[in-house]
Amino acid sequence: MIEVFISVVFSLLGIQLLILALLIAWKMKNLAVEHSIKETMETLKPQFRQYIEGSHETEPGLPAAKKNRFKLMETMLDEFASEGFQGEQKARIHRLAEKHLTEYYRHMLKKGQWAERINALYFIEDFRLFSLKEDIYQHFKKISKRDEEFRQCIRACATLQEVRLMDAAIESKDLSFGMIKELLYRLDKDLLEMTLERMQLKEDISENMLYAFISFSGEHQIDMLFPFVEKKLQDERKEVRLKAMSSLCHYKKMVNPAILSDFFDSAHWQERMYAAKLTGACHFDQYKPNLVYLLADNIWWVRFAGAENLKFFEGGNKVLEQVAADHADAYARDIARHMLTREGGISV
Amino acid sequence: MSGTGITVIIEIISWAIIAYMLAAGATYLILFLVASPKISKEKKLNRQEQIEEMSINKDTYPISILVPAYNEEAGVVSTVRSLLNLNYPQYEIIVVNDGSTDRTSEKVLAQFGMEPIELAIRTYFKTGEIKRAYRSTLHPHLFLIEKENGGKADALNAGVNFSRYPYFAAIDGDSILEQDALLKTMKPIVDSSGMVTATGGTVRIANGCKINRGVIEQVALPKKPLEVMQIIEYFRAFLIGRLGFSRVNILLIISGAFGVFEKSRVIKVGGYKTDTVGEDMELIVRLHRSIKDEKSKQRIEYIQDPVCWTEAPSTVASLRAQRIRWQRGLAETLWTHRGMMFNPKYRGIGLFSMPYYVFIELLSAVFEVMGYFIIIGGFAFSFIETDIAVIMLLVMVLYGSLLSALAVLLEEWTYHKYPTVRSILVLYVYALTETFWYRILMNFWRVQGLFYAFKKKSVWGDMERKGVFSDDEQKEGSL
Repeated sequence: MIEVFISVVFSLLGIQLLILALLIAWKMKNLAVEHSIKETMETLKPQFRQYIEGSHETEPGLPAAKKNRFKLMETMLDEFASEGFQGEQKARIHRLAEKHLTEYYRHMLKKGQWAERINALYFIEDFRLFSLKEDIYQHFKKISKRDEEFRQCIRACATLQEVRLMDAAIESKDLSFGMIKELLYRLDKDLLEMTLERMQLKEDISENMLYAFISFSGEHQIDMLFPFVEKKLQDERKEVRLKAMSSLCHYKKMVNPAILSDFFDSAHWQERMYAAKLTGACHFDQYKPNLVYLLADNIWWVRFAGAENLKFFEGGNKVLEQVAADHADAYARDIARHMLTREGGISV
Repeated sequence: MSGTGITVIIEIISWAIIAYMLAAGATYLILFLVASPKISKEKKLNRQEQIEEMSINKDTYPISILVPAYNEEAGVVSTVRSLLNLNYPQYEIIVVNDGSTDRTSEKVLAQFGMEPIELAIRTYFKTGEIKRAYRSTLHPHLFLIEKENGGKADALNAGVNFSRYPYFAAIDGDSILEQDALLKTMKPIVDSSGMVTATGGTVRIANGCKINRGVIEQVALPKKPLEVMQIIEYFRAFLIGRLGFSRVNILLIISGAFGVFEKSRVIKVGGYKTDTVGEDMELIVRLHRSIKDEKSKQRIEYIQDPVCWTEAPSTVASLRAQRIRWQRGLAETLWTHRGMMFNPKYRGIGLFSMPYYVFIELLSAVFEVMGYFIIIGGFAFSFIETDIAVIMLLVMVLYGSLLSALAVLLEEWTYHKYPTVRSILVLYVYALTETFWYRILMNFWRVQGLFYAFKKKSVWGDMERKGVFSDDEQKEGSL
């Protein structure tokens, strides 16, 4: 019996020591590769910078050894891309990426492991590799699991302005609100208009799509969509009204402010809170007294929004000081005092 | 009873302990096997690119970071600095000074130009009296609240009352976060559109690392064996245990050093429990309970990335106090929620997690300590066969040293945070020694912790911070 235990323990120890040796060898190799890439980068990066900036016309040569060439170019171009080059310089980075990275990413999409495929999708999007548009769409059609690969694939499709993806997104009922907004954010003007037209024609769009559409319109202050958003203040669904109010806070305007008056007495505290926020965002002087009225609301968030938005008005602090001094309601006095020493007016 | 009878009984107990430890070791291996496919799958993922989108996304939920601090003058400034450096679109930092008797408040006040503010806070939970609140003139999203002493849970509840965002992160005053920690930890919540209600990330030990102004500049090993062993212990706990539990949504612990929570869910369950020393685990168990009671599809997730660095006790006395406290907290939590044990209503939590924590995390120390006596007795007084004593020793090496050594290999295979080959060799060799000294100490303290739990005796001890973060004496903005 004892021999069995001894042999088990020593066998496991032996296996571990073998793995340890392999890991150390692997680590030493990786450290050497990293060191080599770092050294080559130090030489090549200034040359590539000159080429990208236009002070050198011919593209610098890469090391003869193909090993690590891809990693070197990916790292270097990623660093250049994050520096915010514009115009011709940005185009040169793009051309370099198309030339040196496209084939590798195409190969990864087809043959790579899960993490390698996702990494390829990240960089295809970052470098805007339009030559891979069809590959990505075909890859998108093959993905069945709704995980990071799916999400990154549709992000990349949207960045590459893939029309067929937007059709699929409109039809889909299970894309999240946040994901749809991410897609809309990536579309250029033409594709965005086309998508919005299709959405307006379609009667049974998903709630998430509608919410995303309303929020996105406000966050990007798209004028052509303003009437649509304002109209949604009268929607039967509370969540749609709230999304519209939030969106209008970004627009900082309303054509018909009279609609707002009923919201100050809404049975839903979220609507009272957004009424206060809209009043501040649009500077509706006529509703200033309503803000003071909301300071005594029984919900903290409403009182907070009332006080926070009073500060947007000229003399708002004076009103708060007055409330802090002699308002009949203790909660109103508290929130006014609190707001006088705590900056407000940034949350929507 | 005759001598032979006693020997037979001891032999039976010995075999029971051997069987128990083999079963416990097998459970660890199963957890490892459950965790390893995910670790393997995500090993090559570019973590930086993964969170790039979130840092600019307007739908990344804003978050309140709560820092409960009791006598944290050595580390609190660095902790706050690391939080001010975070890459996250919208957040506030709330340091809650829980009636410290040292200069915790003075340090924060002086370093960050704090000015008094008026208080009008919601009271979701009753807490110790809030005495004053301050806001930084240099960083408008940094707040300090001073309250009377009520313990860590009470301080966290006060922080939740004061916070304004829908999610909050709880971080210890002796820990620092990596720059992208919040983005990484919030990612499961954002990706799931809120279906994930709490998340936690891997915590690592900062002792030995080079830290400058709240940022880990170089990861290195400490010199003290006690600190090195804790690094290995954390590898084992986080890389093998927690990920396995998280994979099947039965994780019962999110480290008190760093966790992110959906505020409304925490409010719904009543906040942190103030009469236990294991408030972090207790809250997670209560969250699970509430999720299951509601038949909600929400879940609790753990991310494997190392995101938080914490100062580990560096003296025997402070480590002893910490382990006794942890064991007592574990015992209290399991006792409070004993109704979930083997209760099919709570599925994996009731049928696997709770029994695991009772029989392996809580009671393994008792079995191991009994084993020590049997081994010593076997070798010294021959009251059992030497073979049995040797087998028990071998099983202890399997369960202690070899499992920990496996965790070291796993760390090197996945994150390889320690940059030199020497570090890996040192960690591996230390792991092999675990059974022969470190584990013995831990087990005796854990047994002591169990006694204290029965007697309800409180031992907080003194952490004796050497201040691995205390390099930040210069006034903010003075450079």
